[in-house]
Amino acid sequence: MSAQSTAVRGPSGLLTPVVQQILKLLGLAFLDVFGILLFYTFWYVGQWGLAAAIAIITLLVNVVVFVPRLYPVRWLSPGLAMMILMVIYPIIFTFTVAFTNYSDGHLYGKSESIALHGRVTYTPADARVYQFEPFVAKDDPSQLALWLTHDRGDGTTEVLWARVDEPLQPVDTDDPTPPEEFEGFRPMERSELFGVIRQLESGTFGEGADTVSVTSASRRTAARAEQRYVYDEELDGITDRVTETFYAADNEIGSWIAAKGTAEESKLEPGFFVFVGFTNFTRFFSDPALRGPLAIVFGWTVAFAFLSVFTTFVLGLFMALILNEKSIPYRKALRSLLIIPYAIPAVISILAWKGMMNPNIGVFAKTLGIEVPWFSDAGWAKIGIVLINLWLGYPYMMLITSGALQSIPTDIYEAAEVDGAGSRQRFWNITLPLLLVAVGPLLIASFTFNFNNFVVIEAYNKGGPPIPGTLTPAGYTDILISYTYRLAFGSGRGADYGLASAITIVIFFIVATITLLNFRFTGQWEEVSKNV
Amino acid sequence: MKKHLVLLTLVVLILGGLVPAIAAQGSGDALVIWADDTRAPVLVEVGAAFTEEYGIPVVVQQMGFGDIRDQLKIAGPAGEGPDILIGAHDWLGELVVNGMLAPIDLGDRAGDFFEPAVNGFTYDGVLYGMPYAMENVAFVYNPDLVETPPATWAEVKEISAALKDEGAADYGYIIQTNDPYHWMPMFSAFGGYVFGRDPETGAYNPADIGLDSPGALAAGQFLQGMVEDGLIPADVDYDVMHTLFEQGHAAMIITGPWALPRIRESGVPYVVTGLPGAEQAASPFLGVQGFMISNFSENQLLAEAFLLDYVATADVMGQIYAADPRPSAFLAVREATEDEDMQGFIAAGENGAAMPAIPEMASVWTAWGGAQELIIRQTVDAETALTDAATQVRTLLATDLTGMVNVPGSYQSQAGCAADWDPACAATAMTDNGDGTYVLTVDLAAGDYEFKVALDGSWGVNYGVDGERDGGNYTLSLDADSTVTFTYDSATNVLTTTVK
Amino acid sequence: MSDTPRQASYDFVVSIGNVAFVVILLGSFMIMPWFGTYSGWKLLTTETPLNASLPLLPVLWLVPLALVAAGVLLLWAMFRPERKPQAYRLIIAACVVGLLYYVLFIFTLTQELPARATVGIGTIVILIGLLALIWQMRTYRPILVLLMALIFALFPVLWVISAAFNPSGNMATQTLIPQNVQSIGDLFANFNKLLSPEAQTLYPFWRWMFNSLFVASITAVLSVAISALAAYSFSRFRFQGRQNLLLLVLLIQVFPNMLAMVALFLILQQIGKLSEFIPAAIPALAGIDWSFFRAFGLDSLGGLILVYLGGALGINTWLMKGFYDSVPREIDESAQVDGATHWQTFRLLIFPLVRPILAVVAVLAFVGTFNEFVLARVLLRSKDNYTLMVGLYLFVSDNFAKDWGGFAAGALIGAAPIVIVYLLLQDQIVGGLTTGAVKG
Repeated sequence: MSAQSTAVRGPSGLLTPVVQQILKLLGLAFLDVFGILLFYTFWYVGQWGLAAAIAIITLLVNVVVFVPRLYPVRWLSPGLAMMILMVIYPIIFTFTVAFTNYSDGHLYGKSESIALHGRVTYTPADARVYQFEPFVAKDDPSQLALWLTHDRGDGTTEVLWARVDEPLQPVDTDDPTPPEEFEGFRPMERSELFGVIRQLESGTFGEGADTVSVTSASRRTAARAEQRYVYDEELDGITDRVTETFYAADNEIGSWIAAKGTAEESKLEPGFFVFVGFTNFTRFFSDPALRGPLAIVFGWTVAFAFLSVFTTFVLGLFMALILNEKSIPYRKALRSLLIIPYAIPAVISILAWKGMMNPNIGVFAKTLGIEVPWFSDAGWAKIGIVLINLWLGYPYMMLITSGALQSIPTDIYEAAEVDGAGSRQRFWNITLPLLLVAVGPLLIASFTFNFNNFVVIEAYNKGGPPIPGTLTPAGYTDILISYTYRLAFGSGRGADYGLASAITIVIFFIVATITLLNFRFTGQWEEVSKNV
Repeated sequence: MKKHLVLLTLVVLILGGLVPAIAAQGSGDALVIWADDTRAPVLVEVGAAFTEEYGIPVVVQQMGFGDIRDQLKIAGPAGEGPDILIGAHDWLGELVVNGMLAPIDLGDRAGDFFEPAVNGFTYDGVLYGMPYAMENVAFVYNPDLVETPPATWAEVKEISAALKDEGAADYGYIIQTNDPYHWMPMFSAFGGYVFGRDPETGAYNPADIGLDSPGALAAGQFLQGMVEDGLIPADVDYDVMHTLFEQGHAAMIITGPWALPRIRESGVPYVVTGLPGAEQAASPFLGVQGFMISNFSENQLLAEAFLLDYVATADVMGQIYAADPRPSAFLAVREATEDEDMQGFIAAGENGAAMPAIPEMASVWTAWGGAQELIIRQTVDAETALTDAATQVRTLLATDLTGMVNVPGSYQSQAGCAADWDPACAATAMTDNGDGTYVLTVDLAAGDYEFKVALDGSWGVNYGVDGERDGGNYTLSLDADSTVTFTYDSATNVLTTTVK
Repeated sequence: MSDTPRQASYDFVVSIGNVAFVVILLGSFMIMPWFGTYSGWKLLTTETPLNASLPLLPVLWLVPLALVAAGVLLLWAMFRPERKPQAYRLIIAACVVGLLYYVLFIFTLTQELPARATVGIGTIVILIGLLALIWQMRTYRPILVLLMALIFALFPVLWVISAAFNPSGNMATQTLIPQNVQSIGDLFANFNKLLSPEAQTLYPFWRWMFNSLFVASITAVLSVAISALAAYSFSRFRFQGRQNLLLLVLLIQVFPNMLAMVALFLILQQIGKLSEFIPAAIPALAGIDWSFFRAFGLDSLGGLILVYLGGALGINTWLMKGFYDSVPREIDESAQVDGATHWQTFRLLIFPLVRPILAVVAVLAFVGTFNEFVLARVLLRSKDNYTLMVGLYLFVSDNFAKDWGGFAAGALIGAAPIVIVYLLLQDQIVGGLTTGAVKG
């Protein structure tokens, strides 16, 4: 029991420690090579974040193996590695996003936005639009050429011969019909054309200023194409060459804006994302629209989370205890039946509940004639959602408590029985306290889970019934996350991921605080379990 | 031994699960199409024909209709998106703002398509989609219960009342409790609208919100009237509405072509017809569905050629129609449609207007639906519900309440606010008289009250007794239930209270 | 039991109560004409609102007869206390018959029934009475509670089952017995949509099922392993930062990370692309076939498993640690005195003792991954790689025309493996108790 005996020490195997050591080092070497390979590759392709994550994981593994003091962490390392890559890295991503204006219209970095605009081409007003007929070299299927025709409008037709990187070559004929053969090329079959469209798409025919590209393969049109949006690094802006508008980059809000501050102000979408500091957070706290009915919503969120945990735990524990009695027949089958709510996807079972509860056609109303306003009355709606959540959640509690119950040594009960403790006393004095040691943290986790239990709220009644007279749409069963996400995604600016991330972080800190308080309050944080 | 067997099975399982992914070739060379599972089989067939003729593989990836948009926003920028996707025209605002769509030039083929459908896919003057179907709601009634289809909403009400009195059906016309999309025909018939339109270009103007326009209020009051007469039940959603209709408990509903299969299957007699009007003809939302080309695609020319040469044919468009009948956007198919029901839907859509595709539309649904629900549940009257909804939309769009003058106080929960002392409660916002004074009238029960004046929806600037900034609370004692009028003078910041 | 006078008088009161109850029962059955149109009496004598096809009338006479018999028996039992248990059993049987009658009444009623509320109240009266009766018999209490729990647990499931057999494919229309079923084919229409060989091209159900089982079982096994190791460390070692790490594990897993899917999408994309990146970055290695990375990239089950394993170190670790803590440390100390390494202690001593909790965690992980679809939907692309949940969502993703029937049918079949896994692991979960091995 003393700390001494469990003091950290390396493995001292009985058999051939040398061989073990070598095997260990070999394994580590393999891991390291693999890690370095991934790190270098990600670095090479510019994935700094991933490269860093891989580096951290590889370093962690090495440090843990070589520093004897960290022997206990070795047991954690597979879990930690996965957690760093698949949980912590995304969380860091969210944290980063919270400080940007990442939202609809600002989904790309500046250079990506420039590149995206740069891909747009246009046919200048003075350019001719040709009909084309694709040709292919007889001896080399990769050599393509276009037979271009253009109706001059006076009854005559201009015919050109176009090849990649060669000047457009006028063909001295008035007959637009393509010949059977031309300069060693032959016309392509229709079926062949589709096969080379991708080649045509990237190809430019002609040379110098006089070029044409295919504009539509279906209509067989080709014309000179020019880049429509050109970025000027010095002026830091994009010029639209069709309208000759200059969109200056506004690096504060991540937009391309023309004629800023005037009545003709216009934006070129999409813009780009920029770091905006704490703007999203200040918006969340200062915006009267966001403040709205926040207090009501917060109160219900806490109540909902608490009631959900409490009811599911009580029912789940109760079931687990009853089914622990050996006198109950068919225990195995019963347990399996009781677990079914957990096995059926929540979306459909919530729907089944809604159907049963509906005052117009539901089974309660139809058969028992009792019309409960499950969806229209604030109080009943809350009861309804807790009831449904109880149904959804008690099997989980039953599972974990029936597992944890096995950890309570039977001899304690025997001793208590000798002391004359009744079954009720045994429950309150032995079972529950010991159970809470193992299950307590899970209750807290369950609380935080329900705190953000978006799915159930949305599926039940979308947060309704609505609260009248609020400044922003909110319902009586809305919880913090459903209410705020609706603001982040349902406002006129489109989906605002930056704001949503900021909200997520704020909610996380609220939840974390509650969790920490819970731990202190319930004493979980102190080592309750001194091995019973 | 047993252990080894288990291990062996595990290894085989793992390989069995992982190998397909390794074997799957990157789809870089193929034309990738995202389609919902109704359209996917048709496209698979077309794609197979295309592949056979040209040797270009076509990969149709099947996903939920709504998922297509969400996933494009994740996958597109990462370069994992499709070349062609199926979608609805009201996604355009969001997708175009994000630069996710490539323009489509139908060229001379534009004449093959129903013009309003093409217009629906036109955003800021650029065409971004090739439409295949239109959808709009129509009036559907049970001919056993209703002899002649009502031409006006007043008639709908009469018939409903008559049916209820006779006991022929539980309900006449029923409507979803919180679904403004299906409420729009009634809403628009009385002159209500969501966003005003630019008279010249027809573009929606997000600054002109019509949820509290006189027409909208009239529509709300009409609905309220039906509810008060016990003609419209609460707690109706899409499924409930259809169930009641299909079991003969309700005589009239408004629904879309997507519901035809289930109505037909139920065996209930039904007729699809045009929508009743009121002050004006009903104008339901028109939805257009079509093919779009991803801006991230490396195969845009190919995608366009595939769509124009392979999909835009009477045959394929006919198959798409047959797979999920809704009014086709392809003229050859549309004109050949003989189905009476479909013609009913077409007729009902004659006067429709394309559902706004502007991003601002996202802020409307919850507020508007909430208003509808509050009216049907009789929580508040129609005028309050719709005015509040309009305020909510304005708030969401502007996200600041500059200019709001409010009288937060201990009476607010009586006045329809969610809580007392809320400087941002829409229900107690004062009305601008235009002469520098603001007014608010509320009905209060007997009792003692305290209140202040707050500007811009926050406590930042507030005035107490004698117009003193951050001053003390005004107090008011009422011996009996009274109507109280607050008047605020912005010159002196003093609030005067008159009791009736 | 009825030794003391107090007990005897209590019993007497209870008995009177029971008689009164049966009288009310019978009364409510016969009297109902005054409340509504259809009463038990009218039902038996004149017209019937039941489906004409059900030839139940003679059987229904059993109801009043059973109730009368129950009353007589009760009266008799009042004066023969030693006979009470038998009498109770008979009464309960009578009540069950009565209840069945009501249930029959309720579910075969033609739609328009003005006496709905009467029937409803009748049912509730019987139910409450029945419960009260059984409650008096102490030995049956747990069974009673279990019965109620079963009703609570399974009643909504009946609706899902009904939806699965209802060809109309929507949820709200459900009557418990599917209507508009014209043939056996109709009854299995939804299952046919999934299971028939022709359907497999559009909805490769068995492929989805395999994928789900594959992902869920591998994830379950690996997360149990990861968690078991971690919990051992947390339980047996005292190292710096241990408490903080424990708390971190808990907090991080509850982070409401809605944007995670974007990040995870990008991670898997990059992992999958390693098959191209590595040859590009290090030309010397271009000769090797790196395509196995694709098995962990986007649109792969391997990638999905990787993502799920991110959650392996989490709440479940706490659960395990709590359980480990209850295993007396003297066990490993004595082993270590004998020269066993930590690994040996863990594998040979601790591991067998903590089997129950390992099984619990395995079930939790299995169910969690089997039913997960938010991430899977984003990370999987091709139909053949879909897990069951992602596949089933195709049925209900349309705005209005949702096919809940198909979804329900698939969900029911999907629930089977979960229940089976639980059934199989149950002996492990509760088995620990009988061994009584956990003794200091």
